[in-house]
Amino acid sequence: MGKKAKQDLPLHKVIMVGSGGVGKSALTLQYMYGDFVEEYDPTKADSYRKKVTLDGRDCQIDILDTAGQEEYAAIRDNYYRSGEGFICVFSLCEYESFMHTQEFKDQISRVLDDDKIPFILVGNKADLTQLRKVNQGDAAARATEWNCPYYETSAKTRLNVDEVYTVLMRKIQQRKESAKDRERKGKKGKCMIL
Amino acid sequence: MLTYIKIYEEEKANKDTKILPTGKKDSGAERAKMLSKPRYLCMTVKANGKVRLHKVKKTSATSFHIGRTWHLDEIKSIENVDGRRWTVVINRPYAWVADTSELKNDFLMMLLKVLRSNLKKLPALINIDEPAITTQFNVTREANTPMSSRISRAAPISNNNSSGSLSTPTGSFVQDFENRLSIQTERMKRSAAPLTPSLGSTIAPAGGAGPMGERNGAKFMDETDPLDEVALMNLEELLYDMDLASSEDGVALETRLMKELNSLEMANIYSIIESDDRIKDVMAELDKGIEELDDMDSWLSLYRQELDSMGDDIRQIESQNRGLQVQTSNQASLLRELENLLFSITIPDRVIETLKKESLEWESGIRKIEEAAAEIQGVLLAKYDEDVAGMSAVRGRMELYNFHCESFAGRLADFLKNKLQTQTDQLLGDKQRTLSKGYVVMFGYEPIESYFIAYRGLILWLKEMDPTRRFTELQMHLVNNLNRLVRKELKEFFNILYTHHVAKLEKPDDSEFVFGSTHHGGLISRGGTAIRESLSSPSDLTGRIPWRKRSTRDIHEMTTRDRNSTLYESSRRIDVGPEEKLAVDDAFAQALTIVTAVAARGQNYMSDLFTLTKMMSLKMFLNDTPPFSLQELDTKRKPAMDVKSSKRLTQLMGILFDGLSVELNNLADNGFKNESVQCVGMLISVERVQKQFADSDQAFLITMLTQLHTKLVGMFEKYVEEQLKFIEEARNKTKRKGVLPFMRIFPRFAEKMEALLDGDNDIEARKMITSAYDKLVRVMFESTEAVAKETVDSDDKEQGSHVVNIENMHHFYSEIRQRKIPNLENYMKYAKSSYESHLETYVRGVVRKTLLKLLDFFDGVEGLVKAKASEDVAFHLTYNKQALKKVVASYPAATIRKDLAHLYKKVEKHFSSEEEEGLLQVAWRGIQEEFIRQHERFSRLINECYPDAGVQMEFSMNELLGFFSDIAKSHH
Repeated sequence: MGKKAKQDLPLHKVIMVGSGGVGKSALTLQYMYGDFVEEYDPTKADSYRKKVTLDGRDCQIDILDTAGQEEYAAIRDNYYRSGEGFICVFSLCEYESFMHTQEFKDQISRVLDDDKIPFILVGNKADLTQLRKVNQGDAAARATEWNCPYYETSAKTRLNVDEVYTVLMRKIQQRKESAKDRERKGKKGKCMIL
Repeated sequence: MLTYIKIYEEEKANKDTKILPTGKKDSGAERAKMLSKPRYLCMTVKANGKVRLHKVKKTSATSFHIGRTWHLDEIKSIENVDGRRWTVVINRPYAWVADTSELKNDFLMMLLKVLRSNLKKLPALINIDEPAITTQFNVTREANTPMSSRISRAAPISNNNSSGSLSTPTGSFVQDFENRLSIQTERMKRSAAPLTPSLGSTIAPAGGAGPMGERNGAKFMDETDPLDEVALMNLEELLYDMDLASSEDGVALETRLMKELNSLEMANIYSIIESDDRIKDVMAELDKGIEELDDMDSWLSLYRQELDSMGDDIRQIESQNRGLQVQTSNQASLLRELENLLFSITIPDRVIETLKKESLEWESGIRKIEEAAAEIQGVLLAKYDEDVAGMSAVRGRMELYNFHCESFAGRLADFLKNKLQTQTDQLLGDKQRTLSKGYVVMFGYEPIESYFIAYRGLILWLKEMDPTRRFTELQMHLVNNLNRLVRKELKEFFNILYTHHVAKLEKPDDSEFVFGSTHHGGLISRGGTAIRESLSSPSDLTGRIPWRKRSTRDIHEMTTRDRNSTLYESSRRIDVGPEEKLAVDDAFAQALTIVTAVAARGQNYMSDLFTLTKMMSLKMFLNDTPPFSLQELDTKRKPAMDVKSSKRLTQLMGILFDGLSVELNNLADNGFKNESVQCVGMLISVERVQKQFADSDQAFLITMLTQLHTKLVGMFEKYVEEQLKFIEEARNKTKRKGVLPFMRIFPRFAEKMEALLDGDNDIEARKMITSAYDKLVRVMFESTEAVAKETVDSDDKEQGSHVVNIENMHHFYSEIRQRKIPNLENYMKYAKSSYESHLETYVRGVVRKTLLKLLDFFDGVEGLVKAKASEDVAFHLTYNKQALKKVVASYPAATIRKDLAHLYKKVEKHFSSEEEEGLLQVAWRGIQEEFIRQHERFSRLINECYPDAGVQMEFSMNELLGFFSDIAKSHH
């Protein structure tokens, strides 16, 4: 039924990763519904979809919000597989969560076997300046190391929230387009040879 | 004593008797000389009622002696002899003669009467004719009475005369006074004349006498007589003679005697004095003096009388004088009054001329005429009291002025009617006033409005002077003429709007808001509107009313257009480009705003032009002309107090805008037919306009809007009913997987509703929409449940039905949450918890199916653990080591691996829905966790209950995680 309609609208699958309690769900809800939920209710997993306009074109974003507390990382393998772009979140107020980003990054790279996968490092809870534990330089240095953008966000004040998702979607979009181009070039090349 | 009679006894001597009136006594004395024995016969009655008859003899001039006394019953017979003679037989016959036959008859009569009443048996009556005697007696009596009455009547006549002379008119007062004076003098002379000769004998006043005086007189007479016989009488006789009974006591007798003595003495002195001649002279002189004094007294009283009457006259004259003064001043003020009146009812000829001839075309002429009209009206409508109004001069004037008024009223009315006609025709024929694509305007009637408002004063005059005929006619004329214009304009306006600028669906009522439609979320190609996109896009959360978005662009576009678009016009114009199409509700809302504003303006104009809602007279109007501006006509006014004129205004509006309701209803009908959901937008726009007019005087519009509202409410209800039907029917349709169509449609529907409401929570549509939500959501949930139950999955019916619920509830939750509709919050929460519980049940279900034996075994173990000590479990028959080994062995790692891969495929198939494909990850993640949880539980129970058995799960946790990773890798 909706297949045609779906094809009309490009779908970008985004996955939220990061330790427990860093604000993955808060960011997602802020982005999706424009509200901020104060109380903490550990997520198992939830799926969100929304129609958005990206650079003047309609598309859909599918966000898989994941739990940060899994005992076994292997559980994540499956949905990492389904992701087209990742937002790796840590809390600016919790150094450990910043440390854990490395593990997430590694697992994603391992599962997808792809270094170029769209990836954004996000330091959340930027509004709580008093409690800040991670300085911007460290985080920015890690992002540079990973060759990915770094944003400091606040799910509470919506600081950089839209930007993070938009930038990631743009990256996904670009990647999809270049993949198509490559395909076409490849075909062209073959034709030439023929 | 009853009666007496003087008789003459013929044979024997009789004794004399007593008191008699002077006349009779005299005559009796005469007779006594002629006949031998004069006697008196007396009849007396005693205290005991006995009547007796006495024969009395006169002994001297004043003394009598009773000779014989008889009782009545002693009378034997009575015989009438002749005229004066009769015989009575007592103990012997007595023959008596009376002085006259009358006297005899009288006595006889009396005697007979007494006899009859006292005796049982009458004595013998001889020769007595009783009736004759009676008649005679009566005749004598009657002859006496009229005489006295005639005398008594004589006096008042003369009195009347004198009083009559007194009341003669004052003018001749002096003369009258003299007359009366002479009359009085004459009277004096006349009365004086007879007095003089009788002086001496009758000086004593006659009235003051009484019986005592008479007796004194009699005594006096007695004394003067010779006293020869007195000596012969004994004391008893004397006493008897003096009427003194012997039985009286001594004291009384003494007093009486003393009195007698005194009077005798006085009489004695008197006679001594009288005997002196000089005294007579003195008396005469004294009398004369007294008389003169009396004269003087009467003169004086006469003078006083005259003075009194003069005083009266003077007072009368004075009061007359005052009356005259008042009269004079009254007349003066009457004169002034009349002059004023004459002045006030006179109108200069120039006024009449103005009314007759002044041109109505120009402002200055109108001003002049207004003043003239006010003047003539002031005279005609002034309140005169009945007397003044009845004066022929006033009446004449009034008639004349009425005539002028009448002819002017006719002139004015005709003029205005003609002008109305021509102006209307002119506007009707105006080529500028035609509509075209992209130019949908209500032009209004500004030229007419501004032209006729100049005649406001004169129309007011007409209202006051001829309210029933000409004024009403003029109203009708205006309304009818303008109506031609209004009808044409409205028709064109709605026609162009509907034909060129209303978006129509290719298939009527087949839109994304119809739950049974063929559209499934795709964009609808609809001429150039951005509405659908913006509405369909969840990113547009601002909830603005779609058509407002375009206005800036269009206004800009319009101003650049080469047409004389005034500001006024732009507010009367549909905001649309030449090729643009609007949603029906948008077009309707715009049109409604425009036409109601035009109508409200029309009513305000009529109210001003005809001065309908204000109490005002022409004079007030001229003194203080109420401000009028064409802009002010667009402001809303408060309801007027005057019910009658408000009603009239509503009536006029009903005629003027008779086409309005029809056009709006048509548009609503057509719009609803084409796309039923549009009725909501129309309904809301009607409510908003209703609110605008709620406190105003626009009764016509309020009524019309109420009707329109009722109609649209009906449409909305019908729409909702239809949607409910569609939702229920959807159960039986083929597609049962994924998100159900109505679940997809509803959020968009709700979003549109909210966008239309635009946060307006205090309008009726809000309630209606909320209750529609309730109905729709309930039926949707019911239908979802029904579809879920009937969903048949090839090998697992139960799980399939959970999937339906999971997907739909998740979809509903997330869509509604995105749209933040407070009225749906409860349903949203319900959907979320429903989704969560179904997901959990689903996950448990699929895991149980894969690990059925293990789960059954360990559930049993756990049950035992809870009941008993964990060590005993191994000794239980069903749960001993062998059983454990057996069940663990039946789930080798290879089987698990295979089963998991199979399971993943199945789950993937379950969650194949486009909209909710993300749920696959969610569900699979739940399944993985459930597997891990169960594996952990099994291992824990083995360690706990079978510590020494050396049994382990056939697949390790690492193997399990590896399988998951493998599945992940294989399904990239």
